[in-house]
Amino acid sequence: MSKKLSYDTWLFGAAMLIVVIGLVMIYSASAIIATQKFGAGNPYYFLTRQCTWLIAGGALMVVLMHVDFHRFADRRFIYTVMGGVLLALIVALFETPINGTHRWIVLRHFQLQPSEFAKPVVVLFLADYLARREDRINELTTTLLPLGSVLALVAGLILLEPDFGTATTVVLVAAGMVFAAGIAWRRVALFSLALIPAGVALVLGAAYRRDRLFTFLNPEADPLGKGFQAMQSLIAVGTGGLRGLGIGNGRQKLFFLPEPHTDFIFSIIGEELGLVGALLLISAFAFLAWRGFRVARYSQERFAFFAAIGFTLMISVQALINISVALCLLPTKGLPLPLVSYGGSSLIASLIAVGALLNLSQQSS
Amino acid sequence: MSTSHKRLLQIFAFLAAWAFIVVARLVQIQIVRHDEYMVRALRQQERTITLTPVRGSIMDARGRVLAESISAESVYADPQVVADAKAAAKALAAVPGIDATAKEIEEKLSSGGGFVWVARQLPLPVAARVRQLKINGVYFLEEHRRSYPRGTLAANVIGYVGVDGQGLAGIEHSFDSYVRGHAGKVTVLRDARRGAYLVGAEGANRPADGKDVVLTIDSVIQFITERALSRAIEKYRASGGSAIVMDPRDGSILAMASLPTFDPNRFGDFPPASWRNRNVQDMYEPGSTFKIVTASAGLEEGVVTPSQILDCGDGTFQIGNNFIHEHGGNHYGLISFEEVMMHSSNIGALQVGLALGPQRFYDYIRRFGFGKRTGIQLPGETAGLVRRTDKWSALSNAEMSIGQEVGVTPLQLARAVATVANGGVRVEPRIVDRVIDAEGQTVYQPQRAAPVRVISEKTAAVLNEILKAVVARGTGVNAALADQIVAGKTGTAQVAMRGGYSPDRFIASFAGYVPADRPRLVILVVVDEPRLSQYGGTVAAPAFREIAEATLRYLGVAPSIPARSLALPVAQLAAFSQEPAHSERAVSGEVRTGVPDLRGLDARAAIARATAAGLLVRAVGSGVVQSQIPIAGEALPTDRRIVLNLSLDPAPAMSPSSTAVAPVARLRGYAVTRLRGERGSETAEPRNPATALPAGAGGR
Repeated sequence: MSKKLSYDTWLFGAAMLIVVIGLVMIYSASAIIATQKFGAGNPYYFLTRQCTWLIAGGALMVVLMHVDFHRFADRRFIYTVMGGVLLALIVALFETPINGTHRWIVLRHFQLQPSEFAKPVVVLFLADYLARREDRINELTTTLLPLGSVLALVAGLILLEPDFGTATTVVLVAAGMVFAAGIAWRRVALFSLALIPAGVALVLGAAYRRDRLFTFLNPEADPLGKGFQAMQSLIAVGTGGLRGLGIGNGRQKLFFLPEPHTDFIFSIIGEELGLVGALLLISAFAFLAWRGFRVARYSQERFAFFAAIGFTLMISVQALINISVALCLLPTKGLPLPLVSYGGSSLIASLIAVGALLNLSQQSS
Repeated sequence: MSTSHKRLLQIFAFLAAWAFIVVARLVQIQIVRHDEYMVRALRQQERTITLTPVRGSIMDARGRVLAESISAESVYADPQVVADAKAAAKALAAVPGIDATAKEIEEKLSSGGGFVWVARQLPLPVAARVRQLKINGVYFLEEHRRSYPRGTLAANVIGYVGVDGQGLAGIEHSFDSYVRGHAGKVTVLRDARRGAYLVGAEGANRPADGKDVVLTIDSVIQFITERALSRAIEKYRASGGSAIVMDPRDGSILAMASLPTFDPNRFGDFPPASWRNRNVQDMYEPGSTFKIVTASAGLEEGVVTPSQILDCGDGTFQIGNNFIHEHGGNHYGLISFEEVMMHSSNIGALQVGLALGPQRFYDYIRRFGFGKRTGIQLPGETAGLVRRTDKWSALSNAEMSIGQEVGVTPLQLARAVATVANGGVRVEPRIVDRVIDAEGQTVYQPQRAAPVRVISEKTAAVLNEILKAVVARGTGVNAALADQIVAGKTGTAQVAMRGGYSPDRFIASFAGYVPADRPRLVILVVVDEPRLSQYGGTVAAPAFREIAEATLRYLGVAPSIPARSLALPVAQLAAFSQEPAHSERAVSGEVRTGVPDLRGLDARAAIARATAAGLLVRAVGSGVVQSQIPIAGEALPTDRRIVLNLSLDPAPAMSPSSTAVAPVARLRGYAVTRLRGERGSETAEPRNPATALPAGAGGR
């Protein structure tokens, strides 16, 4: 087995470009909110914290790059972190709700979001599982049922928080990995059919999700009520035009757009950087995805193959969902834009994925 | 290709398709629908706030404030926020200075809306007390309140403003565009929390405060006038009245009173009728004061002379089947025209009017400005009513000669009197002197109409003597002053009613000017429906006297019937100096540089003015200057000497001769030319012997 011990610098470059765009836009989007919340002298509050997490996540990423990935392919490790994540998800459910949700475990200076870390752990778990059972992928009882049970447990706990966006991401990433494992098209069709009534039931089950769904379909019907976020996001992006208003000149972040530095940071990018900036960011993600799939394509082992696909999907699917929400292509979900949005858990989890991909890129031929 | 690679490509294709949709959507939002979202963004992000300017002041000629804007606070409430409307209303109503009752306020606070006024424009201390109540949902707005510090003074001229600061009457209305100022507009970048975030827009969008209007009105004269008018109204239990004091030299209105009046601070408490300015908005039949017009026309056209004897018969004049009577059933028989005016004989006056004929008489009426707005900058001015000759009845010519069948405003009549006072030149009345900005710079000055000559200076001089006689010995004796010569005419008119005249409702008036030979004031007093007397000479003339006396004293006009002592040193005498009469100046526009016209001045004033002009004075006699050498307008003599001829008899009297006009005119300064160059204490050559006779010697 010939090993090139150099990681994919293009992939690293794309990730870093996205992170830098993220830092700039976090500052632009959050400076005013920061001064409102923490006093006029503190416009860098969110930027400083994001930088701190970037250093921590970056360090973790560098460590991941240089550790032999077979250590993570070890089942004892995988089941340990899986157990830890499940425990954390359960603990989060008993935390005092923030914004009506149980997504966080409040530590001293940091709110840990277990669902963010559930994503890479699920990827690891599936990579190991599928690598071992690829040849029996179409067996319902021995392969798909156990796999589905674990997935349902993780996604179910995340749904309980509730965090529909992250749960969807987890399911989509897992589906992609199973699909890559060669599952028969008739099974794909079968599961799709099964998922439709389940999805409908879920969507209609929770009132807030129903509202969001319908306003997504027609945000202008209720621009001041349920369609407010969607409408404000569209106004922000639409105002940007081709070249945008310029960094720092956006107005929608002045409390019109909720969460301008987290879930709706893409709207601010569209407003301030225009179509040019938005396309640059999307291209960077697309490039990252291509390089990620390329790692899978040239991987030497099945675990690496599935892990590379999983981590690539984890970043790209979540990015697409987030951007689609900002553009009113999907119903509104509380989902960060990976590597860009403000938030420690999200950034560190994303950097773990990037670090894992870079690690795997060294192993590929 | 292995299955794995195929699946990888399919996944990538799925993501690429998704990304393609996203990019397409981006192009749609950012390029195709960009303008639409831009409009939506601006609509929600920007708000234009109107900055209200401070309304300018209205001041009198000496800068005394008559109307000003003072800081005030308005109280409004959001009924949705007010928790206990009943308790809040009770607390608010208990604050002294809030007029509304607790019930009224509670009704407002219980209304469904999100905004109600609780009280508008409260004085700051009252607002402070409301603030102390700390009622949730009650808010304050800084505003300005219009204040009229002198209350009713000149209220009918100044007018009033509505609660939103719009001028509704008077100067407040006619000069609203100046006084109001310009509202500023500021574009505020808002955030979603409705707090202003960034303020843009400077310069042209800033509010411009209103300009200040300076009136020709003098508060003191206005007060004097209102007081005198009000006394006359009270004394004779009249329904109302009006009075005008005007400077004939330039048409400045010094006072304009209209009673009953109102307090513009709370105009709503007064009946709307009291808001009117009768001087310009109402017309009346002037009666005998209009004989000034008849006389002017008659004298100018030569159809009558002052000494001409007219047959006034037994006090009845028949035109067709109609009879016109003298006032009070008098019959004068054969009297001179001067006596016709003195006694206000209707039959004498109408004969002059008839002699003129409709067209000539009508022309003079129009030349005096009747039937046409004066153009004074006050709202609601009426043109009066002067019918064209083709609409006249058989009676009209005669009726109009005695001031009936014609509708005039007090201002029009005052202007006509001023024309005579001014030596025959009509000057348009003006009430606004100028509009100034905060730095005192004039930003607007009303254009002055060119003076128009209506009658010759000669005719004016003759009429002047007649009007002096009216006051000296005629119906106007109650207007006479101790130290000034007054010229004027009384008026007693029946109130016109449908189909005739009211038998018991009269308008008593007096129109005149003073000092007669160098007029400073034209005063018209009109008293409506006096009940204890009907005669202008009884009701209005004393008010005229009161106004004239106090005003002349206030203005420091030297007496024309002088004190005899000349003991004052020249330097002090300079203080008595008087402005020269402006009649000539008004006509020609030139400023005289030669010997000043000292005629009509008393010794002190004449000496003061002559000294000021650099002349050495030699005064002969005592009293008022009758003539001077050199005469007015000549170049200053080389020896700088001027000889003044003074006499106690103030009036160059009328000639009884039938060609009266020429001698009278000649009297005024021409009689002593022969003395030029002589030295010594010789008096001037006695004037035409006829002039030494007392005026009206041929009459009764």
